[in-house]
Amino acid sequence: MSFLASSKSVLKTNSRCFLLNPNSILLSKHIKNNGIRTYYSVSNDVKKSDHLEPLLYGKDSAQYRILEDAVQNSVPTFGFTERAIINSINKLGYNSSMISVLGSSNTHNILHSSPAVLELLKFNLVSKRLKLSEGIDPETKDLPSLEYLLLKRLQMDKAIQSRLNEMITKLSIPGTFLAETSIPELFRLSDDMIYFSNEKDHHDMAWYSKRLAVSTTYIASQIFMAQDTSVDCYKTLEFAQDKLNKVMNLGEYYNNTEEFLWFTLMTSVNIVKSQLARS
Amino acid sequence: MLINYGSLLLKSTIAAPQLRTFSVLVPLKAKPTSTNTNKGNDDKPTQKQTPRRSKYEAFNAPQKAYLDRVIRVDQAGELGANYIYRGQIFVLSRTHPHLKPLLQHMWEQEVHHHNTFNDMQLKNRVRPSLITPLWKLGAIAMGAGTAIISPEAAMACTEAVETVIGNHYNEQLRCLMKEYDVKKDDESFGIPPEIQNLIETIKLFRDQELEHLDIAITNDSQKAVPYMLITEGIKLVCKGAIWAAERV
Amino acid sequence: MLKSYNTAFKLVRHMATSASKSPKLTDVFIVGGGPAGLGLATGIKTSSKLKHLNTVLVDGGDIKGKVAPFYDNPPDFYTNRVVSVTHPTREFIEDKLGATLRKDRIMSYDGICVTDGVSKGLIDMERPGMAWMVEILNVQSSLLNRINQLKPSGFNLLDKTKVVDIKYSDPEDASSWILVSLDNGETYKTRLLIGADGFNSRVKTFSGILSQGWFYNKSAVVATMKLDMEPLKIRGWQRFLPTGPIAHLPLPGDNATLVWSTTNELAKLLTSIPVEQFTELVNAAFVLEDVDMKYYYNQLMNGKMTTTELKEDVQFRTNQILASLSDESMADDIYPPPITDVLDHTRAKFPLKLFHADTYCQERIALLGDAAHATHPLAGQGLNMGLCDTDALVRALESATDRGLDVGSLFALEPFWSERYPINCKLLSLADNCHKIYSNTFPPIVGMRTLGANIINQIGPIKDYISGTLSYSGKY
Repeated sequence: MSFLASSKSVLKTNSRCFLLNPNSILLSKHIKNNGIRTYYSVSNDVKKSDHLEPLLYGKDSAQYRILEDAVQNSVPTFGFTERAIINSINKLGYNSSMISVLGSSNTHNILHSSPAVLELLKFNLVSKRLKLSEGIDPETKDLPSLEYLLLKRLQMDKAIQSRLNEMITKLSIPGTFLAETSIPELFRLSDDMIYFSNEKDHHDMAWYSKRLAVSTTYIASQIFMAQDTSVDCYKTLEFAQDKLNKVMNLGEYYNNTEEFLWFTLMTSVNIVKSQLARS
Repeated sequence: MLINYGSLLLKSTIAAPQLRTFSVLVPLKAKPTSTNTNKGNDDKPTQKQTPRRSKYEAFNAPQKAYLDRVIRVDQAGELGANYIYRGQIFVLSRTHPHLKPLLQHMWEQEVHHHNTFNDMQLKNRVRPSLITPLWKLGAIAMGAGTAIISPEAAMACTEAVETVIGNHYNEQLRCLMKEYDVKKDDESFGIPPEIQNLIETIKLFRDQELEHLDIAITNDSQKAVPYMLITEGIKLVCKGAIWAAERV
Repeated sequence: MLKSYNTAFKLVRHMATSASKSPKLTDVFIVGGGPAGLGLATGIKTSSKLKHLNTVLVDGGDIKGKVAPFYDNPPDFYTNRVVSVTHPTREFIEDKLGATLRKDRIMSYDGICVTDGVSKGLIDMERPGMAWMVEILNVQSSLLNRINQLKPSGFNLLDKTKVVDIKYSDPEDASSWILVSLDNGETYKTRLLIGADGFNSRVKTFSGILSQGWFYNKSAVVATMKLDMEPLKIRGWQRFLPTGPIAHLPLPGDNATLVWSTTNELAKLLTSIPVEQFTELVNAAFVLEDVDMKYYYNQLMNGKMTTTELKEDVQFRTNQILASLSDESMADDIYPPPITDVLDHTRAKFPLKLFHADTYCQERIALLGDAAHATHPLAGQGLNMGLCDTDALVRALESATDRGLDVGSLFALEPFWSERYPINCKLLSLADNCHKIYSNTFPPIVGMRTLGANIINQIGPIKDYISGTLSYSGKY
């Protein structure tokens, strides 16, 4: 089975550092990956990993095919449930026992959602996020605007609009899934939207506040979308545009305030200095 | 004589090692090169960019995490250095104008370092340190504060800071050279060009930081009163800041 | 014998090389021939105490060929760089420097009406002879005219010449005289170097003086406008739109000048649309509401509106608003006279910024005017600050000569800085605060400022104080 093979190779690469550097005390301390995307290699000389991080399987694995079909075809009817997955497994002609293998790395949450359903939720988030930035080269000059990417991402959920409420609830149940998948995935989404858009990025606090702003806008718009009855969700898109503008202005206020306080501080010191020079 | 030395430095934009007459720093600098020669003599040719293009394997999680921290802590460190000099210039340019060209020269280099790491941070999608406003304020207070005590105290501050930074860069270099010997398609090992660039950058910056250390010593940093208190205190603060910047 | 020959030869050689490159000595070297630089040159040559100082002024532009002829032979239209000259500035130019501005090209105005683009806030300041609107070329050319009248000795104006390099004559001594090399091959060694070369000042870069400030991410669009008839009341109008203030200020006859601060994108739009559409938008901006303006911007940006459609729409909505006024005569007070045309070639834009150098002087160097500070044009103080700087510097140099100080020493220059820094600071933050308060659309702030404006408008003394600050600014 191809997905088993690929997950084995992951294990191999992960353990490689110990084999190579047995005396590496320094590195072994940092293995803990807290879910925030770390160093992103930009070099062309480095091979791209064959699985779609943070999923543990590549595009041609059985897992991928089942979950992709489930998100596209079964979820609108059955919601984010085991029935949706089984529907797709049967449709694609796999053995129904496959469901026990799907997402076995996920731990149960307090509502005892099955690992496979959790994997389906995760897949929905990850695959759509990756699709969003597909074909965008961050090195080029004419990148899309942040607003464009946000609206594009919202529109991707149009097919499962009726299931959004259920999805948001399941994603936000407190537990390991929330901490390890929902929140990091939300962060990665806003990080991607900023990185792949023409939005100015920052070296300081604004880096965080901008991501927070995009995340809250996205979540708020999604909650709005769950209730939206307008044609083609145009009200959601309007809501998102408006909200994004407001939130971005807020960030600007913060920056301007910092700049202004700094200016005032330096100017006050200069005034004192200039008056001391008089005597 | 002292100023003469400074102006010589001004002319050479990149630190020319032959200008340095001090021996204090040789042990500091010798280490990484020696680890390099110890370890991979075979790597030398690949470092010289052979035309054969075989791809390197992707970094594993610890390697990525470490790079992430290197860029973050260096960015924060250079931000601090930038603001320390800014604070010193702010105070000393009026009271001791003869030091200004020297400080200006060091400050410009720090600004360049800071910008370099800023670019790297965005390009490699590393998060910046969360408490940048604190670094800014602390650094400018440190620079201006020591400069207010006396120009010698400012130099002692520079000495302390640059010692810690120099050591820190050396540690990073050692680790980068040792831990990033990545396997390639053709089963050979080598350091990817991306890491090589980072190593070269850090090496250059380290040399420039140590040049600043030289300048500080030449400009009577050790005559500062109370020398031990200032340097040891600041070293402690810097180490604490590095520890924090790596994490938050 | 041989030895002495050798030294003699060396000496000759040394003299030969130094003769070809030997720098000319001067006391004051001014970079930049704007109002501040020319004002300083005139000030030095007018002052009985400073006359003896050798002075050189360098400018990259064609001062003799393009600026100077304005005085005797001005163009038949009004140029777009028009500034508001306050009382202290005019006194400095005319009484102290002895220059005479061309009277037929300046316009005295009697107050300014400030309105809020979002609410009904209104401050109507009336002050006979509040200030004058003057073209910058008028200031420059009358200063040049004055210098020519003086026929001063030891003054050299080099136009169409650029500074190539600046360095200390002794690289290790920051208090040594400064060497300035020019692109015509000459080198000057100067006791005092003046940077009056604007925002991107070379002198400032050389000095290493730092400055504080930021770009507003906004641009100002300027233009000369034509009115349908000469207005009865000569006054200015300023309306604070959420995108930035727009000001309509009078010029002689049926002319007026426009300063429209707005976002960079809109500034691009405003300078690229046909003049007829621009004219309509200017008229609309003073009367119509923000939503209408936004609609027009949008339509024009997408090319969905023709000039006639725009004209009709603006006409219709303006009439609607005018009809809703309780008293028809009010219209003349709060709205500027409608414009009929804009001179296309006078339409230009420039970026807005706020910045202030930490100090204006150090050993051998002083910064003047825009090289030391830049402000938002909404209070119209840029030129006034620059010329008052010049006044203060002339006085500082005079008292230094009185006391026998080296005019290039920090000691001689510092009084100039300590006099001007706090005043400029006040004016810079005044303009910045106005900008900040009025660029906000946050309802509580709009409410507060409307209330504040209306209160100010009711209380005579406060209004007089504000208009007094504006018309005497620079002095205190």
